[in-house]
Amino acid sequence: MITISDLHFSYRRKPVLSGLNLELRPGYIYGLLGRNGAGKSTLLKNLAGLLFPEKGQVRVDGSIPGKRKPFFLQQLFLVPEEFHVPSIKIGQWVRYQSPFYPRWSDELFDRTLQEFEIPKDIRLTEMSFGQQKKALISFALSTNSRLLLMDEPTNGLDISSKSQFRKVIAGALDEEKCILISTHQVKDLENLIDRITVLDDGKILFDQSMDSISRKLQFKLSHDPQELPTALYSESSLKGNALVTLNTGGGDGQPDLELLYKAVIHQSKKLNDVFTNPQNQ
Amino acid sequence: MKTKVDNRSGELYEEPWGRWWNLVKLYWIENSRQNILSLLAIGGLMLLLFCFSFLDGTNRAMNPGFQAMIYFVGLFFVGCLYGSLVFSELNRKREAIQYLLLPASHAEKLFCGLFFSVLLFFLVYNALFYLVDIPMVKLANSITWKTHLRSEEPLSNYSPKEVFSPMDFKGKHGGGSTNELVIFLLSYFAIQSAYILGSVYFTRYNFIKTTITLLLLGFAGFLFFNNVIDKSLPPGVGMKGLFRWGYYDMNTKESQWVLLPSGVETILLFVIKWSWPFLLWFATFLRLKEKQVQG
Repeated sequence: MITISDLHFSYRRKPVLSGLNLELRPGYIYGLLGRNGAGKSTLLKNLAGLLFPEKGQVRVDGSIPGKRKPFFLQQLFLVPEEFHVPSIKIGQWVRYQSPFYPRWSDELFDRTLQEFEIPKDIRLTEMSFGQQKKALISFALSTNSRLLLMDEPTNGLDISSKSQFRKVIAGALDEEKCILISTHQVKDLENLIDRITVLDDGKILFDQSMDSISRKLQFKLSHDPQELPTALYSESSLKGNALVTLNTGGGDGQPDLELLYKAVIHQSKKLNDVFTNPQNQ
Repeated sequence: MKTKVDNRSGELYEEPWGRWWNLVKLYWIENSRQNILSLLAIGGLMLLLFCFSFLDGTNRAMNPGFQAMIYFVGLFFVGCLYGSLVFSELNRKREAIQYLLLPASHAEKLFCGLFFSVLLFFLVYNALFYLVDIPMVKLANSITWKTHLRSEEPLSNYSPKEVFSPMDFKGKHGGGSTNELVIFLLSYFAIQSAYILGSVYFTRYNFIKTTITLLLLGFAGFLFFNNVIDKSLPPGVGMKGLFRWGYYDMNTKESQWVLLPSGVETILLFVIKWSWPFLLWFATFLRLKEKQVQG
């Protein structure tokens, strides 16, 4: 569905993305993680056609995003981190904006709004930021776009809304859709994503499916200091040492995304070796 | 909505005309309150300015020259200001994302902007002008008539004011010619188109930047004609229009003209008069296509 080859992008000669290669397929939810300024939003904008690659290419279902053809735009919806809502009621918004999306579903929109507990009879501009964001996410899902890009979608959502968000997103996925969620709030994506991609300094530091991570890594708390030298990554906490180790038990480990993310940032080579070393296959 | 199924891909698609009309409806619903308030403000301002003409004495109130001045100054200023706002959402990151990702082509978005800023604005501005102008002229005539009845002047001295018409610029309304009026209106559309381009081209302060750019270009053009073209002509030869040159022969005391073949001159003048808005709209289209949302 999405093919990114040797993507380079700079802001005023300052490189943000350097030689990115990535392939995203429909039917999956991808988590794009990285520090602030790692290039996550820039990558999403390149995918949406809001920024044009300096070098390399991006293809979404064979289309070049930068051309912003209506057919391409009908297949895509971006929920940006900072967004604009018009000063109209939800009903008017749907009535005048949904006709641009041929796969629009009123039923799904009503259902998602209900799930998020959003009132329908007030102006969008009179809603709180969290409510506006949930309304926008509901709209995005109801367009039934094949590619859904979300930039920090859980920013501004309260705790219960975050779990509503996970439920709604998981329910919206089908085999035709590809959802890419960019965030630095790693915990919010737990039990939601199928694949994790970590960006750092404009490069892909780590890119693995959650299945593969569960099979090969183990995440645990340990009080045994002898385990420290064998750990791929460790950090001390009040409860003991949080460790990322090789999964030698054979069963699937439950990944701790936050710990994994830190491990990738600090020990990316060690971690990537686990997945590339034939002995671990 | 006209959604159809593409026979080759089996995908749903929207007919371009239907999509354009949807854009128009969306633009209107999002901006109607602001547009209606702006129109009321313009109407109120016109009314206020016309009231000022009564301060100059009832005989001179609402004379066609004054009406023409209000009409054209308002048209140029408000039209250009509105033109500079039509794509201004592109200068605000949040709105630019939503606007650029709305599933419609760049051409449809451009034509939607032109529909509101060029066509609809011109029609509504004229309607608004006459909505204020006609009653004010009637009021001025009624006051003048009552004043006249009280005076001892003969009835033949009374001449009612006429409503100004931009389509009747000859003689009585300011002494211009119809040709001058057409050029005036065409200049308005060309200048407004420059402001529309400026709204896409500049990311901040586009009205001010476009104004400065136009002034600099005008000044550069003036210098070019005066210092380059005029000075490169042989002695005694001067420019008498864009494509005409006059020569005064000191020996024979006769004036001579250097003219292009009339067909060529007509075509060149036609292109220069009529092509500016279209060229600038095309440049706006190209700029819209290459617009990115940085930061």
